[in-house]
Parts: sequence; structure tokens; C-alpha cells
Amino acid sequence: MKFAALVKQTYEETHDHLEQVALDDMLFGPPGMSHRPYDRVNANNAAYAILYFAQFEALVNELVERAIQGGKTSGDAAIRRVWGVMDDRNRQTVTNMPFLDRVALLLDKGDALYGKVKELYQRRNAIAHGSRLLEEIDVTELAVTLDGIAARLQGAP
Amino acid sequence: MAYLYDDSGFHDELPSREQVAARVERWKQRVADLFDRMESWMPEGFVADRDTTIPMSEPLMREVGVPTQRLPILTVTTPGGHVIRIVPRSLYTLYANSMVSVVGSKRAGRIVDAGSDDAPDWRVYLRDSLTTRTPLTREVFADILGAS
Repeated sequence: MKFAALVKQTYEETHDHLEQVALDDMLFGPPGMSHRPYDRVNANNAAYAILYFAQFEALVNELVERAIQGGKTSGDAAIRRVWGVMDDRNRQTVTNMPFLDRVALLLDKGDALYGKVKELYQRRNAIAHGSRLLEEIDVTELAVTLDGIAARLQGAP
Repeated sequence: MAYLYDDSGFHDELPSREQVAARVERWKQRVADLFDRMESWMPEGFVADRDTTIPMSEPLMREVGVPTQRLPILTVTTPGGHVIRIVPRSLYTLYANSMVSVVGSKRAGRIVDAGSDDAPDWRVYLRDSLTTRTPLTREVFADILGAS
């Protein structure tokens, strides 16, 4: 994931800053503030959760591309024929296909890891499309989880 | 489980007002237990107090009608006069059981409960080791306070 380290570092810095600001507001701010002190922390959490997931999506796209290229040059004619359908003309179709279909090109749908990606993706979509989340997000743990899944997709045991 | 709301309603069924109120009470006790442990680990020359409180009114509490509570902050003053505040921040947390923030430390910004309400397992995100949740021990706490 190309920019993962930068995203994580930036998240930590912005999170710490906003936590400090929110606490200062509560302890030393004027009474009757027009906003809830931790609203900005929560908005920042949601933004970075989505941004980090985008890093993961980019990796999935890269791995799908590699799978297509590998399949098209396979020594097994049956495999070559299937993946050959994903030729250059149809490549656009692959990048436009639903994310979970792309994941299904890399993982069996019965695999627990596929189920985990699906769960994280559904939450990501809900937040990205404006659903209201009634919980704080531990973004660092989400990043660690996605890093682990990324490592598995790239062949780590 | 994630308490997400959109036009079609909540993705997961919300707990009742009574369930949330009961969990908030257990959270107060978990925070008190955590602060007791931290105070028992306080290094020589460091002073801690719980005189300051902050309001707790999480979105889920507001949604089901649990009134605002007040929880203490653990304020630690170092021998050099620097102030570090341990703040109970988030009971309902996605990807952790709950979360406490550390404001004013160069070594860590958050402590998370990786366990459960009945068996808390407090762990720290140290700034130079964000890929693991480091168990909260006396030594790690001293490190957070800049005493090691």
C-alpha cells in the first residue's frame, strides 16, 4: 500500500491535535459551545478510516491486474482461456466491477478472510455514503487489520 | 456489530436504554479501576488527582436517552510541572472495546481496552510502535509519563 505509512502518520498527528483541542474546549472553553467537542475528532476518524481503506482498494486493484496477467500467460490452456477473457479491451470492465467481485478474484468467497473484507467494506461504504456512526472508530486497529489482510493477499502465511 | 444509521434504519439493532445505562455504569467502574492501578504505579515525585471531571454523552447514549454523566480525568503533574491528562474518551468503540486518550504525553496518545467489560485488557499505542497494542504495565506507564 503505497501511501499507507504517510496516511497513518498524518492520522496520528491530526488525531492528537484534535483530541487536545477538544479537551481544551471542554476544560477551558466558554460555556454553551455551539458544537460537541469531539465531533471533529469523530469526523477526522471517519475520514482517515475511508482514506486508509482506499489504500487497501488500490492494492486489490494492483493484485487483480497481476492475477489477470499471470492467468493470461499460464501454461494451462484452461486457465489461460478463462483469464484471457480479461484482455486489454475488457480491462476497464475489471477496474469498474464491484469491489467485492475484484476481491473474489483473489479469495474464495467461502474464505473467512473474504468475509472479513466484506464486513469492513460494508462499514466503509456506510460511513462514506453518509450513514451516521454512533461509535468512535479505532482507526489504528482498522489499519493494522487491513495491513494483515494485505499481507495475506500478497502471499504472507 | 456496528451502530450505523441510514435512511433504511440502523444496520444493527440498538441496545435498550437500560442496557446502555448499565454498560455506562460498568464503564465508570472500569475507569475507576484503571485509575486506581495507574495511581498505584505513580513514579516518585509525580502527583495525580481526579478533581477534574468531563461530561460523557456519547452518540449512542443520546440516541437511546441515557442522560449525560460526569467522569473524572486522571491529571498527572510531573516533577517538572508538565501536565498529562488521562481522559476516558469512548465506551462504544468500533474495533476496540473502549478507549482512553492520553493528552500531553510524547510517548502515547491512546490506551484501548482489547478485552471485554468483564475482563479488561488495557493496551497502549506507543508512538514508535503503532502496529501493536503494547500491554499496559507499570514500566509502560512510566514510559508514557516520561519517567523512565
